[in-house]
Amino acid sequence: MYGNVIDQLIDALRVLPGVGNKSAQRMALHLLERDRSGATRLAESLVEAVEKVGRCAQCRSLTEHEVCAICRNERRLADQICVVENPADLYAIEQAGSFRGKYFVLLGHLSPIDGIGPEQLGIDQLVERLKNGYISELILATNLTVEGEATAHFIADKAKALGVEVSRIAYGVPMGGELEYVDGGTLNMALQSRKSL
Amino acid sequence: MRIEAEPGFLLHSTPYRDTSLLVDLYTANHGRVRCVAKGFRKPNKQGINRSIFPYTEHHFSWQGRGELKTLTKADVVQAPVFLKQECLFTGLYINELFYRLLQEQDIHQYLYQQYQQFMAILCGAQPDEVHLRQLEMTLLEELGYGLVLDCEGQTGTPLIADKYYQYIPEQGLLMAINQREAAPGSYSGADLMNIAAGDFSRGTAQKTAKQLLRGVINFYLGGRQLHSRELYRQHLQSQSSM
Repeated sequence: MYGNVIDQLIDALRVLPGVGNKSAQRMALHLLERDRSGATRLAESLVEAVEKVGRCAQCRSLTEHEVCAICRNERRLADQICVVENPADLYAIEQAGSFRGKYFVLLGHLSPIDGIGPEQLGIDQLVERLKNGYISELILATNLTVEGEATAHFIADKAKALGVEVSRIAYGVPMGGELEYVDGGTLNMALQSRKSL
Repeated sequence: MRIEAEPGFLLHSTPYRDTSLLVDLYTANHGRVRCVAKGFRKPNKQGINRSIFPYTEHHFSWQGRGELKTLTKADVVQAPVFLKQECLFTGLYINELFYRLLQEQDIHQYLYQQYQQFMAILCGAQPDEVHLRQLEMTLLEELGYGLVLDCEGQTGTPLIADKYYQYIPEQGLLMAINQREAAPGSYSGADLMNIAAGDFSRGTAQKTAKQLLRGVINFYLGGRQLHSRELYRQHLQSQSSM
């Protein structure tokens, strides 16, 4: 509609999540009409990121270095590992700000029907890490979905076999949550995993 | 076409776009149904979580004419449970098996009841192996692949208890050429007769049923692997090293 190059740009922008034809068109026109320098910056950073960013050799999270900043940070507790499904989960925990240990990112969860098994999740790599280093606690922070639970149990069995202490993040009512609006499943879980005061 | 409050189970779900899911349901009166569950990965406007759980019965409502329907509602009948240890692997196995073998829109009400009963047991405790074998046999039977275990497939000759037989899928039993016990893929006549009579308790009937069904299921999977079996094998390995 606008000519080859512009159409190509609109089409390319649609790879972004949540961006359809209309938004892509708006973004393209904005970049070309109002912010050319921004567009150059965006293009350069995209190319640079795609070229340089890979997986951390220790935790499988995204990084431009061989080992990511969290794994290299000596002030973080090296004997506590938190296992998460995705880099987005890692960033969520980092933003929450209270965890001082290190991470391991699975990049998915066990799903036999999709053919995703322990090999695809790097569980062997995690087991090696548990064998080699002194790890006092493995915190399983996979999602509270059925697949996330299955993954947590599978890893817990492996870690226990190596004599590592394993814990699972707690289930229950969210902060500021009113019981009236919490679904039945969550309430049951919250009651089952209640704490004595 | 609009369907309201149809009882069913979730067999499998995959994320779709930002907040949606593609779900495969196994329902009582419509068999296997594939739906897109728009926005089901985040809470609705009232802030209520709309997750769908496998192993737990739901009432599903959907609409749409094509193969892919749009799920409009999924209400849990009972509180969902997270399966643990052995139960978890059994659940994964059964769902993978049903997902692979059931065709869309095939309706098997008896099979649905059996599946429902099995899941009710599974959510409480690990069902014994006999239940699992019975469910596998019902699945094969309802799909039209039922095992004929009371006579030889081609000749119709009744089985002899102290002879060994091979099972050839789509043909039935055949007396084994090699009548030694150790021969792989051959089953004792006595065990086969017990399985046919639904009695798994005598002798090695249970073990025979497991091997026999594994072979037959593999045949109908047509070379596709069941990943949940491999997962269970690895789980057993890490258990034994404890």
